[in-house]
Amino acid sequence: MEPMGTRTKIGLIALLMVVMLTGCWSRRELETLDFITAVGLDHAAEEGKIQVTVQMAKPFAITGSVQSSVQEKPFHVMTATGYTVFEAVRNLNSISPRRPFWAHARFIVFGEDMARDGLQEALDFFDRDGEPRRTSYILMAQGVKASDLLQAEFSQEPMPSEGISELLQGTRLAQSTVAAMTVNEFLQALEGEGIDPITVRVELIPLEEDFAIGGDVLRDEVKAKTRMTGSAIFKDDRLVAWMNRPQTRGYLWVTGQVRSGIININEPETADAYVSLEIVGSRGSFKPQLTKDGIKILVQVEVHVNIGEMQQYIDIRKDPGLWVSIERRLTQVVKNEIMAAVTKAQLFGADIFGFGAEINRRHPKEWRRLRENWEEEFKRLTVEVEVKARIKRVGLVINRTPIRK
Amino acid sequence: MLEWVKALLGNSRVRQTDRETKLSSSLSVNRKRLSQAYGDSGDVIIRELRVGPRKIRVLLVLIDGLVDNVLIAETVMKPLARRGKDWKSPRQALQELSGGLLLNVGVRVTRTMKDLLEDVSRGGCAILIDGVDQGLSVVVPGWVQRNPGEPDTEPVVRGPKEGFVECLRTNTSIIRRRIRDPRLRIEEYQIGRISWTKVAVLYIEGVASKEVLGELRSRINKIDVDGIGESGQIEELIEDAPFSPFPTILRTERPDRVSGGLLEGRIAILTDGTPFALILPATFTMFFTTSEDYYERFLIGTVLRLLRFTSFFISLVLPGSYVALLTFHQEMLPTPLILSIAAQREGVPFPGVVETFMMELTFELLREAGTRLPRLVGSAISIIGALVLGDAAIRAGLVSPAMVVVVAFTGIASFSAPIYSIATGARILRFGLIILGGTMGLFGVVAGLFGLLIHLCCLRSFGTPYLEPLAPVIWSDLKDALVRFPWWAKRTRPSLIGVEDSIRQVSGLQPSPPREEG
Repeated sequence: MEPMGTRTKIGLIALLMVVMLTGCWSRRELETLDFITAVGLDHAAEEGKIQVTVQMAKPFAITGSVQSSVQEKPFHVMTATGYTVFEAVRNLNSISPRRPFWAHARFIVFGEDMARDGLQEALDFFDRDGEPRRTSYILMAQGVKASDLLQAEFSQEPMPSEGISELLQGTRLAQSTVAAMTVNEFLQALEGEGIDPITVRVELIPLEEDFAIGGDVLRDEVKAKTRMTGSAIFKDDRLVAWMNRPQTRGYLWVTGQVRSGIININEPETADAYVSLEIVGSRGSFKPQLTKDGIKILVQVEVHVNIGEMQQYIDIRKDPGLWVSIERRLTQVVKNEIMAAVTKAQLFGADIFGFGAEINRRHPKEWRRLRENWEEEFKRLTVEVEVKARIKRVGLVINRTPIRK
Repeated sequence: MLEWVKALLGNSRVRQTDRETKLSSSLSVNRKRLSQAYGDSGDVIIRELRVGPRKIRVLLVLIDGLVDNVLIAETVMKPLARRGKDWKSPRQALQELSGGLLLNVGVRVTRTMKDLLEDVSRGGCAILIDGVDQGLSVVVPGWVQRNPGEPDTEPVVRGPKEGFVECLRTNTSIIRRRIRDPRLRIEEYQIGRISWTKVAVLYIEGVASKEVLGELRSRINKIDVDGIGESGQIEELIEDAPFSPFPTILRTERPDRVSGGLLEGRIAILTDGTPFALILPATFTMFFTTSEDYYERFLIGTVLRLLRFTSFFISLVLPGSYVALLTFHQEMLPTPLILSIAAQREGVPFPGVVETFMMELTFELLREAGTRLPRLVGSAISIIGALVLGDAAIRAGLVSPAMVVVVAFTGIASFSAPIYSIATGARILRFGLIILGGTMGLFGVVAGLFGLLIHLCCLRSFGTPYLEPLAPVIWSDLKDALVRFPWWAKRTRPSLIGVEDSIRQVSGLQPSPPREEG
C-alpha cells in the first residue's frame, strides 16, 4: 500500500471530526417528543393573557401498539397561558415531560371571543416560528372557547384532530359548504390589499344523555361532537360575521371553488316535491368593470349538474320545456346564493372575494385612487351575476311509469 | 527483512534457471534429475522400458490420477510394443514416435526439463529415450471433474442451464461452442511460481479494443505470485480501484454471459481451478443485468432491471434514511405514520441509530452464519433468526416492529442484486450511511450519497468510465443500461468498448406482419 498523502490524511481526519465531534447535533429521539395534533387559542381568564390549548397524541395508547389498551383515549389536552403565544408555548414545557413538537398540528382553532378581538398578535408565532406548519388549517369555534372544542371527540375516529380534518375535507368535497384557509392562505389574505380572510366555522354540538356509542372504539364517554357549518368572515384580522351554508357556497361559486354538493329545487309541477341536483362541475370567475356609475363586478359561473333524485317522476324527454325549467331554477338558486354572500360581505365591509385585489391586478392606476376608501367603495359596488347551468345526466332512470294514486 | 526477501527472490530465480536446463542425452542423468525434481512423491510414476531387440531404454514419466490409464495403454504402450522391435537407433525411435506413431494429436517435443515437467504436471505422459537429448510428451489427461451444471450463484428461469466448471480446458471449449468464429482468440498464460496456474484471456480479434488488450496483457504479465487460488486473486491484482467498495471487474459463472460480453467487445479471463470467469471492462450498470434480461422479451427485461436498480438503492439508503427521519425529521412523515412508529418505539430503550445498527448487524450475522453453516444445520439458523431474534426481540421491547420491517425490507432488496459482489459493496456502505444518518440526519445521508456518486464518477475499468453510459452520457449506449432495448434496436456495440468494430447487426430487423396488397 502506498503511503497516504498528508492531504488525504488531513481530509480523513476532518471528515471523522465532522461525524464524531458534532455528536448528533439537534437530534430528537422520537420518544422524547410530544406530538401536537391540534392547537387552540383563547383569551385567558387573566386579563391580557393568551391561553394556548394543545391536543397531543398519546402514542402508547394508539391501537396497534403492543401495550395499548382500547379504553384509553389516544390523546390528551393541555393548557398553558402567557402574555404571548410563544411564552405560553414555552410554559407548556413546565407541565409536559416531553418536548412539544409542532410540525404535526393539523389545525389551529380560535375561540370566538379572541377572533372578534383580532388575530394579529396570535398569528405571528405561527408565521415566524419554524416548526408549526403553514399548511395547518385555521378554524373558528362559534360561541365556545377553543379549549372546549379540542375536547370534542368522534366515535369512529380515535384521534379528534384527524376526525376534524377529515370532516373538513369531507364537507368541502361533498357539500362545498365551508370555506377553509390554511395559515398560509390566511396570512396572505391578511397581508394582501383588497382581500379579507374567510375561514371555516366549527360548532360544538352537545350530545344527548342517551346517545349510544356504537362501533369498536370503546370510550368512557364522548362529551361532545363537532359540526362544520358555513364560515367566518373577517374584516382585517377581526372576525365580524358568520355565514351560513348557502352564503358560503355563494362565496365558493364566485371564487370557483365549488367541487360538489346538492341543490334542491321544487318540481316544476308540484310545489311540495323536490328535485335534487348533484353538482358535478363548476367554473367561476369575476371581472371588475369600472364605469361612470361606479364599480361593477361581473361574476360568471358555469355549473354542471346531474339529476340525483326526483320525488315525483317526470319524463323529461316528453317535455323539453321542463328540462329548461329545471336549468332556469337552478340558475336562480345559484344567483340567490351568490347575492346572499355578496350582501352579507358588503354589510360588514369584508371583501372576502378579493374584488379589490382583482381591481389592483387589472386596473392598477384606478386602484391607487380606490384603495384609500376601499371599504366604502366595496359596500357600494354592484354585482352582476351570469350563470350557465346545464344538466349533464339524469341517472340510471330514463323511463318509469308514474305510480298511480 | 527486506534483505531476506531479496535473498529469497534471488534464490527462487536460481531455481528457475535450474529448470531451464536442457535435457541430457543420457537417460540416467535425466532420470536422476527427474527424481530430484519430484523427490519421492507417491503419485509420480517413472517407469523404464527396454524396447525391441536393441533394448532401447525408454523412460515414461507421468502422474497417477492426472492421466487416463486406458488412453496411455492405447496411445503409448501399444505402439511402443508393436513397432519398438523395428527400431535400430534411439534417434529413429524418436522420429517415428513424434512422426505419428503415437495415436494422439497432442504430442510435443520437449527440449528442456522445464517443458517436460510442465507437461507432466498437466496430465501428460513424458517419453524419454536414452541417447537422445529430446523428449516427447503426450497429452492424456484424465482426472475427475464436475459436470457443467446450472450455476448456483446465477440461476435463471429462462436460459441455458450450463455453468463453468473448475477445468480450464472444458471452460474454453464451452465458449468455443458458443462462438465458433476463428477470430475468437484464447491466449494462455501461466501464473504462479509454484501453482503453475493456467489463465486464459479470451477476446474476439477485431472486436475487442487493442488498447484494453494491451493494458490487460501488461497487467497480467506483472503478476508474480506463488499461486493463484481463484480468479478473485487475479481480479485484485489487475483491477483499477483496489480500495473501492465497488468491483470494477465483473465475475460470472455463466458461459452465456461471457460470450455475450465477448460479442460486445469485452475481454474475458478464465482461470484454471475455478468456475468464475472475469469480464472486463465492467461498468456499473452491468452488475444489475442478468443474462435473462436478454432472453425474456425486452419489456419484461427492462422492468425487472429497473426493479433491481431500485432495490439496490433501497438496500443502500433505507436504514440510513429511516434513522434520519426518526431522529431528525419527524415532520417529514405523515402524522398517522409517525404516530404509529412513535407508538411502536414506546419503551424501546435504545436511540434510533443504535437500534438500527444493532438490527442490521444481527441481520448480517444471520446471513453470514446461514452462508457458512453446513446445510443440515441451516434450518436451526432460520428458526433462531426468525423466532428468537425477530419475534422475541419485539416482545421483549428491545426493538420496534417498524425496525424489523425496515431491516427485512433492506435485506430482501439487497438479495435482488444479480451479482453478489455489488451487493456486498452496498452492505458495507449501508452501515456508513446509518452512521451518517444518525449523526447528521438526511443531510448526512445525502452528503454520503453525494460522496459515493463522486467516487463512482471517478472510477474507471480499464479506461472505460464506470458509470458509462450514464456519466458521461452516451445516448446510443443507453439502449442497454437502465433499460434494455429490443434486440432489433441494438445495432451497435457499446461505443467505448467495441471501438474496433462498432456495428453489430444490420438495421431494420424490427419484425412486422407483411403489408397487405391492395
